[in-house]
Amino acid sequence: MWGDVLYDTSQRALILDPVERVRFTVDSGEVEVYAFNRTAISLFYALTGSEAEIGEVGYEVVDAELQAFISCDDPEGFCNANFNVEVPYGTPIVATTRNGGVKLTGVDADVVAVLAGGNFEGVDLNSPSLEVEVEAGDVTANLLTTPVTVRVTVGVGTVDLTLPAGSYRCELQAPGGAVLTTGVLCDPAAASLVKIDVTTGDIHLQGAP
Amino acid sequence: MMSIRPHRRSPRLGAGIVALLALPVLMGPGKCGFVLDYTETFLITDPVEHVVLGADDGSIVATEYERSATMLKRHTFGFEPSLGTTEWSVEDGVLTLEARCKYEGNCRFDHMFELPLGVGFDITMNDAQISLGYIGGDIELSLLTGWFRGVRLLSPNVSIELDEGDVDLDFAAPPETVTVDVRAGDVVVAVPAGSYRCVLVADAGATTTNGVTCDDAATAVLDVHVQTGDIAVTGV
Repeated sequence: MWGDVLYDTSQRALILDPVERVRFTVDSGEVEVYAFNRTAISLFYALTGSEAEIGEVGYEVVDAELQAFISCDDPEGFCNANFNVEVPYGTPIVATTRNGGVKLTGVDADVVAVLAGGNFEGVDLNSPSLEVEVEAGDVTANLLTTPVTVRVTVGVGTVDLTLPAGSYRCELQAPGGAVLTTGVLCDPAAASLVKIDVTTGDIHLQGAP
Repeated sequence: MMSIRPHRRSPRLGAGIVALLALPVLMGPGKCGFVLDYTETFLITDPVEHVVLGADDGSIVATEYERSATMLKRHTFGFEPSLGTTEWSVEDGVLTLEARCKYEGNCRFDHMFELPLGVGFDITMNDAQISLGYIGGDIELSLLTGWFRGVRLLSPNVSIELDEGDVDLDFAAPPETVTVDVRAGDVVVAVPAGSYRCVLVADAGATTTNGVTCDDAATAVLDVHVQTGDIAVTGV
C-alpha cells in the first residue's frame, strides 16, 4: 500500500553568524522580511505540503550569505513554505519566488526581487537600490529616503511607487496602461533614476508630501 | 478422514517472544511510554539581568539587542517517563531555568533566547551545544561535553569549564578576564588587538598567539588551560 506523509510544521532559528546578504529561493510561499535595530537573524518558516512534492527546504549560511529555500516539484501543488525573517539594518535582500509574494519592511540595504507570480510590497524602505521584476502581480512600495536607482519591471500588474518628493530621472513605460506622476519632478539631469516598465497595467509614481 | 496436525511452536514466533521479552533491556530505562516532542515560546516581560540555566542535555542559542522583553523558546524532546523537572521563573531580575532528565541521554532541551542588552549567563549542563552572540553580561559555563561558541561578545568576564569539546570565543570588545579550562579540545580566542596578560597552557598541544601583546603588567587576563588540544589566540 502506497502512502504519503503530509507536513504542517514550522521551524524557528537564530543565526548568529555575521551575514552579508539574505537570499530567498522559493518555489511556493510568501517571503516577509522585517529589518530593524537588532543583532543576529531570526528566521521562521511554516511548511505545509506532502513529502512527495516537497524538495529541499530549510536554510544554510554559505560564504556569509544566509540562504533560505524551498523547492517544489510543482509550485502549484501541495508544497508551500512561508518565510518570516527579522534582519539587522544593513542586510541586503535577494528574493526569487515562483509562486508567492514578497513583503519587505524597513529594509535599508539593496533589494533585488524576482517574482513569477505574486505581489511585491515594500514598506518604509531606505534602500539605495531597489530592483523588482514581476511577471504577474502588483508592485507597491514607499521609500523614505531618496534612492540611487529604482528599477521595476512588471508583465501584468500595476506599479504604485512613493518616493521622497524631489527630482528623478524618470523612465516610465506602460504601453498597455496609464502613467501618472504626482509630486515628483522628472528631470533628465537628476541623479536618481526611476525606471519602470509595465507591459499591461498602470504606473503611479508619486512624491511623498 | 480428518487429520489434526500436531501443534508446533513456530521458530519465528519464538524469536519474537524473545525479542519482546528483551525489549525493556534493549531500550533501557525510561524509554517506555510516549515520546514527548514539543516547543514552548514565552515572552517574559519581567526585567531580566541574569540567566541561570541548569539542564542536562541540549543546546542554547542566544542574542542580545535593544529590546524590552525577553523571548524564550524551549524545545523539549524525551520519553515521558524520563522527563524530570522542566520549569522557569523570574525573581529579582534572575531568570532561572531548569530542565532535567531522569535517565541520562533520554531527553533533550533546546533553548533560544532573544534578550535585552547586558544580560549575563550562568550555565551548567552535561552535554550541550552552546552559541551565545552579542552578549554583554558576564558568562559562566560548566559543561561536560559539547562545544561553546561565542560570537561578537561584549562580556567583561567569561569563565568556561569544559571536560571534552571545543571552545571558540570571538570578542567584539576587550574582555577583562577570560578563563577557560578544557580537558580535551581546542580553544580559539579572538580579541581586539591590544595588551593582555596571557596565561596560556596547553599540556599536550600547541599554543599560538597572533596580533596580541602578551604583557604581564596588562590588566586584561587571558587564562586558558587545555590538557589535550591546541590554543590559538588572535588579536583582531
